[in-house]
Amino acid sequence: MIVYATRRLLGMIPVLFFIAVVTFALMHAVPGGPWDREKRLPPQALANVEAKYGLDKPVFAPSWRVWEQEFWRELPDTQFVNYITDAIRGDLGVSYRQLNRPVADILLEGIRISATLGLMALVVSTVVGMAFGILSALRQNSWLDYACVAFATLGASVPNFVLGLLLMVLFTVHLHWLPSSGWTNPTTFFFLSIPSNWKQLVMPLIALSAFPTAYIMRVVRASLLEVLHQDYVRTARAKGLAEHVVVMRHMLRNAFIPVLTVLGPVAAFLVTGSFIIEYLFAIPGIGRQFVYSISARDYGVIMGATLFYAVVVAAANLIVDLTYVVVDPRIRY
Amino acid sequence: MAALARKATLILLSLMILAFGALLAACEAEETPTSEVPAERQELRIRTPGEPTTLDPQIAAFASDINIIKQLFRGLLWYDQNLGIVPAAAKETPSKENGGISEDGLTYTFRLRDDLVWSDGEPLTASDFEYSLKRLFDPEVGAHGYYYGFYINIVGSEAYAAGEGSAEEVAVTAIDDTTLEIKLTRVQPTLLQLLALWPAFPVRQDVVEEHGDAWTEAGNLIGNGPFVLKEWVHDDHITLEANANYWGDDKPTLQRIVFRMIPDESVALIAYQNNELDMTAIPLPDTGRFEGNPESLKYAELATVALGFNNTREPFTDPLVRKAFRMAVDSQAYVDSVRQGSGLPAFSWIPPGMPGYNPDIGTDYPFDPEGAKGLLAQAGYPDGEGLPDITITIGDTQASRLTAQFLQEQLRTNLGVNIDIEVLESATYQDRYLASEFQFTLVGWRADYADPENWLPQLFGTDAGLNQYKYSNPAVDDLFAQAAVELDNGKRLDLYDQAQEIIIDEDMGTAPLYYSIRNWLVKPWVAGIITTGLDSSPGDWFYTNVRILAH
Repeated sequence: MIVYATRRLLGMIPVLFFIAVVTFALMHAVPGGPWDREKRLPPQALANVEAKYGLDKPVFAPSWRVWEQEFWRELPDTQFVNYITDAIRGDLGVSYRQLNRPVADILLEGIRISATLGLMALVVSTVVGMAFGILSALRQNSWLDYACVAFATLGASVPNFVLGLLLMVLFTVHLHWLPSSGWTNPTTFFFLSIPSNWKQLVMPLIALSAFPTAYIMRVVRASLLEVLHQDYVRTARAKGLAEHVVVMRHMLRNAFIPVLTVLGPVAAFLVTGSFIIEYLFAIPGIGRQFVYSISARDYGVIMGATLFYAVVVAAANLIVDLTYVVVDPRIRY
Repeated sequence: MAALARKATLILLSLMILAFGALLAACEAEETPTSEVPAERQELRIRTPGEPTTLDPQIAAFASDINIIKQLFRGLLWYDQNLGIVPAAAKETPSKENGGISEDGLTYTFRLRDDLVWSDGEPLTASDFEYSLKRLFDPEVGAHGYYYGFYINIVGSEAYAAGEGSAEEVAVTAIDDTTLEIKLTRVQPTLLQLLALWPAFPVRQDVVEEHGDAWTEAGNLIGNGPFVLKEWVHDDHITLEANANYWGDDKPTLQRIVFRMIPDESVALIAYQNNELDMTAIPLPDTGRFEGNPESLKYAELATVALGFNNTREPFTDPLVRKAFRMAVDSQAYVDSVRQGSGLPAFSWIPPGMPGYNPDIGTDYPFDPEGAKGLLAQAGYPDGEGLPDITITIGDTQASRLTAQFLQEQLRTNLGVNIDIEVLESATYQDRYLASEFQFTLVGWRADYADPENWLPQLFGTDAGLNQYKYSNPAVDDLFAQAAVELDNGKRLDLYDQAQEIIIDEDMGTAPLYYSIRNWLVKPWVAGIITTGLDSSPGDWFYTNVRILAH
């Protein structure tokens, strides 16, 4: 299994490189650059700024003549090569949109905040989703089941910005219980931020968790219903096992496999930050940085954020694959 | 299952209706008794749309950044509430009478106040201004943006910005601690106005050199304005505090200003209703329901929005077509419907409130569908027959979409011309616009300073930097050249007036649509707001005059 994990980790390197190449090519290919402002820069200013940030160099490859002469002596002096060599050294460059902050700082701060919110939403949606999924499957066709399914339909169909605005109208405008937005104390992480930020956390957390909660609940319910009438469950009951042992050990363990499959993408989705939620509630997370960086053609942040997303998704999938071993005895690496 | 789905829909609907009711209830103005007694807590809370790009005066270009910078620094000169020039760090405004301006108009001598200090108490001298003004042309710093171009008539500045000269050759010289001399290559009647703007604010050399790009962070930044940067929580808020060492005569009453970064305007409105903000702009779709609200504050902005024609693309090569388009569009209806009343129908390019505003310009081409059709026929397109396909290209914003749809409808009904709408992602649009790759679009201009010089030559001079309309008329170029060096202000404004008359009345190089009016909500306990047409949030040139009343 360690061999397998190592192989998968090493396999991420070419994937990341490929993603870097494609992203770099795409962001330079789309029209518009970081210095396209409402007021066109004088040609001299544009030349100065491009020289300062190395944007005057060729994007990928120098002309063939230069390539031929110099390739074997040293790496070509192009934007992509410079970016990759700097990135390997840990320097992700500077932001053109936030001139006083290096990209690495921007990303780290954004990631910490998005991850704080995302991990909490992951806990909330897994716990609530599983609990109600189990309840509604075991009490199929009861009022509780109907209520859960109704909630699941709502959670899956109401877009989170609508839910967010509704919450804001209710709790902020009407009841004056919670502040509208913001993230006043950004230096804390995960549950440590609850004491200082809980008021600002409540609404985004609900808005962010609604969909994954509903999703997990439906998956749990569906897969439990499937194993409910399996032979081995009947066997377990026939053996005279206590009901909770039947549920926990025989039903849940099997029903958990499909849940695990969806948890990977859900975790990746939550931890990488939701642009809509972060925009709406003025939360300085990575999701917002990512979208802003694209519209501002802030190359350094685009690259950094894309690679971060790629790492998170790959890591989440790897973790899920490894946990299969724990829950599914049929799987061995 | 179908029954369930219906149930769910019902629940959803009732939830939405509930929420809408709550929203409506919240619109009713809260009656908050206020007195004339100042509040204990002198704190002003304002929304800003997002993280500033920079707080470095020599680099800043965005209105929301400049709003904050104006509180942290003070230049040689400042504005009064009528946008006249008053001395700030300078003892007096230089003039020929007081010897501040040489007879040939090429040398400016500023005598500085001798009590100038930075926010850390260190003395501020003429050499600080010398350093900062030279920094504006540094190819590594200031010569990265648009605004250094305003000051390019200073001797040696252009060469330095192009990397050919050096800082030493820029003719800004500290003669002694309180005397600063600036030499120009040619006379520039507007130099004093320009020196009151943010690019000419002083920055501290040792701070900049010690911290590099991070010098604008809280804790590093040292300014000389009425407020200091107390806290900057990135992407969340910026807190300014009154500068205890402020030397100016306009010492602030406010102890704190908090800029909350809230990206969404509607959320900012909710924050305002929840008393988290003291002022916020009213989002366009909400304009109607705050009409007549006692907390609403409207002020005219020095800004004009117009129909932008590419003067080199068919059919807009013909002034008759451009005029026909102007006459086919009902500006009043536009202001009433799309702008919900927050704007004024425009005829001239230069808006009211600006020196050089002329109410007669453009009035020959009012909204008149019959007249418009006549002009179009005269241009050889009777009833629009034979017109090439016309596409209006816009950036993807709600306001632009609504405006383009309005124009499409107006041109179809009033002129019988069908136009297509092309909506582009904002940065793509910007790129296409700057390259003049459009046929028909929307354009706008907001004053950087209150002078026609800021409104005409850069935008309508042949091949000028911001002339994306590709407008060209030698007579206009000639008038611009004369006005640029005309020291008699009356004559100068007259030359610009003649130019504007040609641009609009003769050529209709661009067709003015409306003048912008800013629409804000301000809590009743905020007193002493003085607005000008240059404000990006109301009163931002004079926050020192603002006070909070007990409430």
